[in-house]
Amino acid sequence: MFRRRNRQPRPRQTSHRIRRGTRRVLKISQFCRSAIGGAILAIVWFPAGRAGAQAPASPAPTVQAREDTSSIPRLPDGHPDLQGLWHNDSGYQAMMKNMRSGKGLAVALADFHAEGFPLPLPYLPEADKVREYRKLHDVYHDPEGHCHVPGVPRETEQPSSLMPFQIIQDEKYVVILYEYVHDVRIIPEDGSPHPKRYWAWDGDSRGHWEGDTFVVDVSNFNGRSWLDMEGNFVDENEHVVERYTMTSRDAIDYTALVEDPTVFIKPWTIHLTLKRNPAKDQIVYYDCHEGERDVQHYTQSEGNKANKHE
Amino acid sequence: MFLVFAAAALWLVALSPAIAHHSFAAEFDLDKPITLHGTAIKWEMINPHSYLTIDVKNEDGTVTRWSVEMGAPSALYRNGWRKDSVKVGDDLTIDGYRARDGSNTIFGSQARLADGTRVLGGAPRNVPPPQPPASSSTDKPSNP
Amino acid sequence: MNKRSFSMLMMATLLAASGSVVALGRNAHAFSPPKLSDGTPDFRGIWQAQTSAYLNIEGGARARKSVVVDPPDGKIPYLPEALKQRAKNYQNRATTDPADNCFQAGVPRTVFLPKPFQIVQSVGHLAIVYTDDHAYRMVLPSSIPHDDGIDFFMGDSRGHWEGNTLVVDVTDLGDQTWLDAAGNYHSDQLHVVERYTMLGPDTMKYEATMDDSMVYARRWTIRVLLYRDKTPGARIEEDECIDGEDGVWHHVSPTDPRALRRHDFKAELAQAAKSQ
Repeated sequence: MFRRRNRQPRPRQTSHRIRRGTRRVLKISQFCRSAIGGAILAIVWFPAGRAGAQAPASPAPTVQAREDTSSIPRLPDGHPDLQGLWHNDSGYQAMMKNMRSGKGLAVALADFHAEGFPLPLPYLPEADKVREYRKLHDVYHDPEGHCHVPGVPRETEQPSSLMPFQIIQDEKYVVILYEYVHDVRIIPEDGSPHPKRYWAWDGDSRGHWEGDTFVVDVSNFNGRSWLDMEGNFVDENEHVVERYTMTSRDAIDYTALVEDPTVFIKPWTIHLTLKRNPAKDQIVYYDCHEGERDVQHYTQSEGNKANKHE
Repeated sequence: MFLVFAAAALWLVALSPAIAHHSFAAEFDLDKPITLHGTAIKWEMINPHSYLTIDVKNEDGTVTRWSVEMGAPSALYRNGWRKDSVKVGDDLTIDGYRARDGSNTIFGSQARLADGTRVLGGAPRNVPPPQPPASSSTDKPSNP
Repeated sequence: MNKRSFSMLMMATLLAASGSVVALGRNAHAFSPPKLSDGTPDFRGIWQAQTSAYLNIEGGARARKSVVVDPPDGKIPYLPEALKQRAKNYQNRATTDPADNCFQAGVPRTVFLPKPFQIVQSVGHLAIVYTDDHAYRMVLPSSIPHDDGIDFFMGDSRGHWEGNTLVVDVTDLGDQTWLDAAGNYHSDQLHVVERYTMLGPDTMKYEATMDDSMVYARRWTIRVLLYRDKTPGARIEEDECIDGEDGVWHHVSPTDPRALRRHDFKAELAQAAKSQ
């Protein structure tokens, strides 16, 4: 939201100059002026005052050939600036296609996988039986219905992802803040290894750059996540490698290589296009647990033994 | 025709986060549409779903309390809804789908206030239609 | 050293000394934090309070001190009727504390929970990510109006800098959260103004002023210190909850081996066969 358009890499200030009692002139950035428009108050978010010696510019990074690369905003360290509010546009397109196809509301609402989700998944035979059982008789136990964070890659790929997510890059971490159930992933870039005794719904993420692609290695899953409401699932041996590549100012090419040797015959890949949300849009918090009243209505045939109905 | 798609898109944008958290088809029966006329008792614009509680007068004069589940506040908010959009005592007509478990619960797909304002499935009359998520090649925002 | 250099050195020393004296006189605790490339104070890192305020803001039993600094008597200035509600909350706290049910703890309570949080910050962006229930707050610039007409458990935050202090204005908090585990509470009119100021490289002063004319006779302020977590490998752990058989939700730590669910397809299919 607060990126500068046509941003030139700014020389990095390496010295922390102590300023005593300096009165900073408040400056309104060009981007904010255009984004917010009209008469705006002084934005104190952008204090000026870059007087003084600047450190020399760091050498230009290697830029891979890509469409419209000149419009990709970059941070002072040369990496693409992924910051802002994004949504899964491939999912959105899938939803619109279902609506237009006249398949009927039930299918349009239920069948939400983007085209880049390679159905059917290559299950091992026993795992496939489990998938079938969960789909037909046990959707009550989909953890998303119980307000759990969706896990990786579900939080990016599934309909919940039509809710936007915010990316912030603060030099040591890339942080993704999802509107959906205020899920958060803090991704360190310091090269540290995955922890040993740590089992999480969202796993443990470690990121690094390969050229202009941000690569995230995710492991340490707790085996409780599903992939959708149709019984597709993973277990505790899931391992994911995500790749985020900006193809233009408003688009990110996203792939997730998913492997799970106790569930699938072979690894498989999701491929999505993420698109930037309109400038005025912001996260509108979506809680779940605090007001959840739905799963009590699931019937017994859906796995809710507590409901006296079939 | 395009406007129909655009309107449908807006409606689905409002609807989809509602189905994200749980399986819509598991809870509601799309083969059992229903229309209710009632008086608003309570409007809870809460997460993960908003709830409208209404009292419906039956033909025999008795009153039945119904719970109308609606979209996520974030979706409603982006469509111009606020905490005070529905007041206690407002008369409403609601189209929706019955819950499978037989309870007096429906999912509300469209609500109309007595004054004719469409309050769900589209923006209220005095609020310009919102933009759908960032541009795709096939969908443009509808004009106010 | 020749005479000229010496006198220059003396001059420089005197100037520096007078500068320091002036600085001390202005504010003995002024610490100038490191800055981001745009000159904004750099508050990035993992922070945590070490106070018992999460149990009871006013201190309560066992000679714990109140963190209320205004009014000076350390008591929350409730309206008379509200005091009765607080007593009721306190009485029923074992079953009615919303945070016990894994609800997000709101503002300011989440800030001084005994769990770390992380300030994530870049030029033009600031977010605070808490361990508890993986709650987070986007702190948007004050120039963007609040999202009124909708309530959020963690409120709606707008920030700006006053010198080296981050000032965050929080509204739309609803009325579903408490301020601590002792039943101190608020209405949906609560308005909180927070002030974050670094006192040193690893210490931050946190003040929050509460304004709610439905519940309090006047504004009141708390002050708590936050400390940087410098442990190598420190991180914000995932925090999820599971509903137990007793119907009560329990936090599950990802470092607890019980968090791991090992797959057992044979058992699951056997269970399926039984129930068909």
